[in-house]
Amino acid sequence: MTLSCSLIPNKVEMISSPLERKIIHPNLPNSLDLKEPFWYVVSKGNFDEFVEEMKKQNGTVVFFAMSVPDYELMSYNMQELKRYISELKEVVVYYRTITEVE
Amino acid sequence: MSKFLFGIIFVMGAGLSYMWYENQNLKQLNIAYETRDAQQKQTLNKLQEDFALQAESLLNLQVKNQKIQKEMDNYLDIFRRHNLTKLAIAKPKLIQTRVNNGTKQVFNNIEEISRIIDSADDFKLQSDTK
Repeated sequence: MTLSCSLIPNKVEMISSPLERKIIHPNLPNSLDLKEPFWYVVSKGNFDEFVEEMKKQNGTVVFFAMSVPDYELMSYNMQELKRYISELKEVVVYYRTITEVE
Repeated sequence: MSKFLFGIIFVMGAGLSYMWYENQNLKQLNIAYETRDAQQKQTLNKLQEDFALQAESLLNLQVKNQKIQKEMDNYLDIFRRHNLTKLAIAKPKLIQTRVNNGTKQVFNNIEEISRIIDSADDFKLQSDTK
């Protein structure tokens, strides 16, 4: 009996570790390459000069016009886009930080 | 008398054997409970660490968003403080220069922000190779 059954039990060593999640981050989009338009500020004082400039550039007088309040709206829209992109960038940084494997 | 002694020895042997098996079972149960306890502690610690990291990151996010919003407000405040129509009538050339410089600056800022997003992958790759 003493030969077949040992009185000293075998020591069982159990090790457990949490399973790390592996999240594959997608490639981020390429950076922006913006082309700047040229704004002409035209009033009564320089209107003729502007028309001449347009004739030189396009051969005829043709242009898109925008009022001052509309220019302000465009500026506001650009600032909104900038704010949105910046905040979205921070959200991307947040998700990357919390899902980064140590 | 010897039968009686033999009976006592047999009963004691059976009792001891039963207790030994019970002890073995209890030891195994103890190991299982200790393992479960360790796992739970580990899980709890990990959850607490994750929660702390999330809380810190969210706070950073809020601070940065406030800064972004303030920058936008400061920029738009220029239009509130100045009458652009009057200025454009009085000094069209000066306003034209400023408007074009402003556009260039905003576009450069947006490009810069997008470059930071794009380069986040490069930082990750660099840290992976280290």
